[in-house]
Amino acid sequence: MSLSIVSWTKTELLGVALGVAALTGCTAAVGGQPGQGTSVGPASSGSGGASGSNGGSVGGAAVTATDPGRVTMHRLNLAEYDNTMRDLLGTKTHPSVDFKFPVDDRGSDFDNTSDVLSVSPLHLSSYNAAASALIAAALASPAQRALLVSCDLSTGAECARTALAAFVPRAWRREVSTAEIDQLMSIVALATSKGDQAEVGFALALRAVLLSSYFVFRPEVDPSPASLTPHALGEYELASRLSYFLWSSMPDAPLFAAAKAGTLHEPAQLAAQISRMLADPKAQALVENFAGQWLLTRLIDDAQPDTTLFPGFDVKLRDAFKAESEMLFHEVAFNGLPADQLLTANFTFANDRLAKFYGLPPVGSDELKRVDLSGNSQRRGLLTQGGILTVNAHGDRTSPVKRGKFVLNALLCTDIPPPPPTVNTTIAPDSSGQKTLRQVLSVHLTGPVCSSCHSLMDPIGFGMENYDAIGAYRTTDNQLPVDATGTLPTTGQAFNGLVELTQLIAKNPAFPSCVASKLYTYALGRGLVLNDPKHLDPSALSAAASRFSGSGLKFQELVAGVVNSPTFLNRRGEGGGS
Amino acid sequence: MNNQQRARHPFSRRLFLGGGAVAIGLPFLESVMPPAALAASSTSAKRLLYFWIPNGVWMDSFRPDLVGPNYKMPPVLAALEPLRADFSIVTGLNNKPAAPDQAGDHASGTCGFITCTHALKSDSMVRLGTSADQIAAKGLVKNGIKTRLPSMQLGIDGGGTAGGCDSGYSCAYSRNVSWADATTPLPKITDPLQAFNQIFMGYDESASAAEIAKRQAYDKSVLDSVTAGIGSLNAKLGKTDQIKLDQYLSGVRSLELQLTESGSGASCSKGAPPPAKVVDYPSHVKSMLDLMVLAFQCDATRVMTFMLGNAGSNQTYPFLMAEGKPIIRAHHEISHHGGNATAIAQLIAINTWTFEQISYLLTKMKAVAEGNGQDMLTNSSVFVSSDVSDGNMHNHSDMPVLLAGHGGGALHPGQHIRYGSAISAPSWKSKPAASDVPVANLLLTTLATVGVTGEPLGDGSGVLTEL
Repeated sequence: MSLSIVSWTKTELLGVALGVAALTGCTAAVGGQPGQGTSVGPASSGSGGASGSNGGSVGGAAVTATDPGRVTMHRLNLAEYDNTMRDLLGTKTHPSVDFKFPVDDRGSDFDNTSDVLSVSPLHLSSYNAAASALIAAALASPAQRALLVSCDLSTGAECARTALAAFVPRAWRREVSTAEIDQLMSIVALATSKGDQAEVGFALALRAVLLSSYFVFRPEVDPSPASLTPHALGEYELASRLSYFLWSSMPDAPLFAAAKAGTLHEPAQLAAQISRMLADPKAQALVENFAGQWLLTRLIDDAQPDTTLFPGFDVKLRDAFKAESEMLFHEVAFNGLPADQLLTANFTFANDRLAKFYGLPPVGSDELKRVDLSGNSQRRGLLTQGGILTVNAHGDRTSPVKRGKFVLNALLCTDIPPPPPTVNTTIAPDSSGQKTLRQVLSVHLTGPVCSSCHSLMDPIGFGMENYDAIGAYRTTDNQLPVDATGTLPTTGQAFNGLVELTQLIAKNPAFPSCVASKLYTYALGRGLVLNDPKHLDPSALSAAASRFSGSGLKFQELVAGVVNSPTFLNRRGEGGGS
Repeated sequence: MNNQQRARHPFSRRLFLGGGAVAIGLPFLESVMPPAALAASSTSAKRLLYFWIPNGVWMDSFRPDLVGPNYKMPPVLAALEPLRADFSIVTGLNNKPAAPDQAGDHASGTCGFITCTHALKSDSMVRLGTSADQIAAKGLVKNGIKTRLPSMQLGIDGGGTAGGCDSGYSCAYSRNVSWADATTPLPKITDPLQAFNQIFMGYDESASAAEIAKRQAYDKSVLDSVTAGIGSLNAKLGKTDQIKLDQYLSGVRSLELQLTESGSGASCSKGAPPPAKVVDYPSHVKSMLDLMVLAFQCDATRVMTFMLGNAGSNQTYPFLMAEGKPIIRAHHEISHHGGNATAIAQLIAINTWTFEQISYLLTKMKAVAEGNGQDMLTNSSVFVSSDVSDGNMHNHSDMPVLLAGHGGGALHPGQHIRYGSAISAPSWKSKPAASDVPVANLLLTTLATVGVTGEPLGDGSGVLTEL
């Protein structure tokens, strides 16, 4: 869900003889501020944010928000499973790839939205195959074995018990009872009774640990599951929320220690943990999983432009595209730059291949290095990057529609629905002479059905027409001059070309609130509830967005704002009945 | 030994009994022994296959000119002419619940394919219903028919790793036709080797009976341990979390069945595993079709779904020609043909290719003799359809349906069965009005062919006797 300012509405179309009684379309309904465009960002008062958006007009309503919402029990997604095995067993491989786990379903743009993360028989058989193999590999590797057992299993059952007592709390991310260890020891005993060595039984017990619901899921429990009264998360539960948010992985020893001491929820402790965790290389997970889905950089790997039309495109360029986008996000997020530099940075990261593609001087390396763009007027920030331009194009031509939609969805949190089904979206070939794509697409703006949405998307995409389907700079399209002028539909601000356009987007107040909304959604792993005045999402989101804005758009402050949200720190039961 | 390791072993061609654990040390047999000679039960094994194709069909080239047996084979079905007596073309059926709330026909039509249930439109949660294949899978177990895999879900494309799927519908709706219940989509295996390993999981030809018994005891103790503490967790969870835990427990039970169930004893030749690397799309499809026949032949399961892509598939078909040129544009784009002659020619080429693959599958099923003069196709019901009828209109009425197989004698293939108004002219160009007869009724009819009756399915109201 996003801070949508447009929505499909059923509109009776009078006098339009299309043979359909009602059509759906985009209407710009902006939080009670007609004509104000997308300015649903955090107001300077700090009470803006999500309020007024998505029907969630909380202003003026005398309701105290108390509901932290409910996060459905998370199954580890593919990235989380792999990272957890890495940190738990020292696994160096990607088991979800090697054992072909089913692709995670996504909701709200992210594959950690727990309600849509299901468990199927195929998951269990994949887990079983993976766990068996990973345990065997770990026990066979001296370095990995040390993470599992430090005594000699052949000396008797006590060694296995000691090893399990140390291992299982890490695997299940909580304290474990003696009865639970006893239960696992019965597997060891079975193997011994059948004449196998303790090693065999120990490996079986480990498999049981890794197939357990306590490993596969991240359970959070309520003192009384039917009660709607909010309560603080357990310390271990909070440790997992933090680690799976920032690392897509299990908590490490310091997090477990703070949880055990019962101090993790303390503001100073949380602040210290956030700083420590963001400085850890494991925070790269935010690049791959948060930015990867938010900014679609994951899709760069799959980009397959028509190489007969774009012979300059190859895997090396594609890899450089992805690395460039990821490195820019990393630089902005982890080095304390204002987040709008994601869109305006006058530097980028390039290797020789990419520098040549951009017309920059060689960097003298196959590795990407930071390069200055002061002398280049064509590239500034993410939207001018080859990878982002490519994944938002067709294989054989640009797509002003896709590009405009991406900007609206991802950066301004404005949802654009697809065309209504009965609309013919094939544009008839034009025989009146050569036209640019912009000229061809002008038909989008001729009727109310198309123009209600395309008048929002297309002008943004037209501003990006100086970049072809693989992001190469061009001044002509179909041998005619590119016209990349326009106005930002939601504000009416004029621009000429993408570098000017991207400045406008960066300065739009919807941008920081959109970033906040995306990270907040990802952190909780659930869809937002913005239309219930009792729900804490609107106020929590706006508080996080305000902290973000107030810090000069520092990502770490946004992370801190999200973590300190009452929705992140608390939970409630689900209520009774059906 | 895990699947991956096992798959690398060179296989000797020995008989595999459908029971995962029961590998009998019969000598090498060059050809598959007639099942009747070994396992009488397989001769009466009835199978169900629900085969989904994306983006609708160009109906003018699918809908026959006449009802009854004497229709002229429509162009996109040309490859099926030799099998004319083994399938029926069914037109005019309606899948009303599959229509979305406003936009999202591909997602809602795909998840509604054999659930015939209206999906909750949400990007962050899923609520649908049980699909026909899962009703069948549960019904067979209830009827005492146990296979190692109650059902199999196969497909071609797992799905992308970022970006939305369709118009505010969670990606789960776009990627899954098989649903165990309202909240449990069953993802598909898209890798041929993984499918092969699933079919033969637990089959270790080098193990002695004692070793197999021990392994089963170990597997059982692992799974018992996994379920041991589940009650105490369940008690601390809310309803929605309990649903997730139920999904998990179903998975554990299914795994236990796979690892320990000896099955009904059909025999088959395991043969060589498929290549570990998928080369290209047509080879990938062929591999999966071969594996479907193998899974049935080995009685690993009797219920399958297959998805030739995902909702709104943008598969490309550069190996096909239309109007003398290779087809470069992507399938979904083309399917919004807008009446454009080139787009329609391309759609016809893609549809024709698709039904050629289906012809390959059905021919292969027919070639598997199952005793008493019957073959696998005689004993099967194969439902082929799409998420929408016309890719441009996105209508869920007048669905394109192929119903192949004889359902063990319960079906009467070889006809064009038409629901709704009669066809006015002997031309594929006519567009007669569809009926209100739900697709669900045809699906209920397929369920009856495997002896599963009286179960509710979507908007279904009863079986169709004329099929």
